Amino acid sequence: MVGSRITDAALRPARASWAFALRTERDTRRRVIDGGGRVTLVCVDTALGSPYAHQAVTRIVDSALAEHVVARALDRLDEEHAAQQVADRLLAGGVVERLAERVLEGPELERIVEQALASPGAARMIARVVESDVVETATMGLVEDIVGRLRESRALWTLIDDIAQSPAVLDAIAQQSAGLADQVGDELRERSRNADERLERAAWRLFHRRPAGEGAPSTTGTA
Amino acid sequence: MNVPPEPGPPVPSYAGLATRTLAFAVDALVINLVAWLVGAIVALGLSLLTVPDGVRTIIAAVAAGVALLWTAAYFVFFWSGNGQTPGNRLLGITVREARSGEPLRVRRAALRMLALPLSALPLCAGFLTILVDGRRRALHDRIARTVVVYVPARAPAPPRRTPVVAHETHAKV
Repeated sequence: MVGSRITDAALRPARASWAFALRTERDTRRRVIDGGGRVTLVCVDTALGSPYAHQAVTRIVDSALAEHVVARALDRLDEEHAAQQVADRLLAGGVVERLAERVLEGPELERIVEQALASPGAARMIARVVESDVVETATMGLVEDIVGRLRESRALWTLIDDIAQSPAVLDAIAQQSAGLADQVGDELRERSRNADERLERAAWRLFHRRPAGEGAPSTTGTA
Repeated sequence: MNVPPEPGPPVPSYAGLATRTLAFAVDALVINLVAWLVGAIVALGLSLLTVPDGVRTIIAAVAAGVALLWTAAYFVFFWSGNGQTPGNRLLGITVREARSGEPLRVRRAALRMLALPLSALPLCAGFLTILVDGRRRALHDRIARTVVVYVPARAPAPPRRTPVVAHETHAKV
């Protein structure tokens, strides 16, 4: 008992030293990794920002090897129906629904659409689409189809009959016709009465008598 | 006590020569149109038949008589109605009894019709008295004791309003 205590007391500094060494090693390793990572990132950024990187990428992309690699990758994807599998997994997992819901509910889509519609390029594109022969042909076909269906529609003719026979329409037509006839009649009456007066004055002058209303027998009186 | 005078009947305004001539022209147009239409139909029917010349002459005489009768009936009918032939109605004049101002009775209308040729025979001199007579009467007016007056202008009728029920009915349709 006493012996074990003595041993424990004797080993305590050794344990502390061992723990300190471990901690120091861990800290050093972490600092080395962080520093190395930062340096690596700086190097990568520098490399990517340099014109050599651009040339290198361009060469790789333009090379026959890249084309061959891409073609093989696409062939393999096609053979293994990878795209189909990915799509099936996305659909089965409900990712597509959530994505669509998020896009539709979020403000991003509205903002994107507004920006797209406000841009002059969109206006030009829409104008070209509207003026294109395809749209004109489709529109004319649609209109002709609608007109044809409307002509064959019994409900439409019933509606037209109802409107044509409605009291409001009949009243409007009758009032317009009567208004025109009344206007012509009024004009004719006014002119003929003026002609009456002129003829009568001329006759009175011819017979050296005074016209009606100036001492001569009046043309108005009790019938 | 001073009693305010009661408003009397409206003073008529007698129709002049130009208005009456225009009205007569319209009536003559109507009469002749009908006569020509009937004559054309009869002539078309007769053209299908073989009619001797003597019969044709008789038919022409009868047609002339019918035309005269039609003309007289036209005027008598309208004068004894409300005093307005279609021409009178267009020009806004009406024939009235000189004393009462009432529309003519059939006998007076017939008398006026019979006297009408008397105004026309002496180179229409009977009509020219309209220009100098105080009540603008022609010779046949004097004989039949009638006058021709302007019809007072009517106030324009207010526009009719369609009942709301009608709209609702159509809306339900």
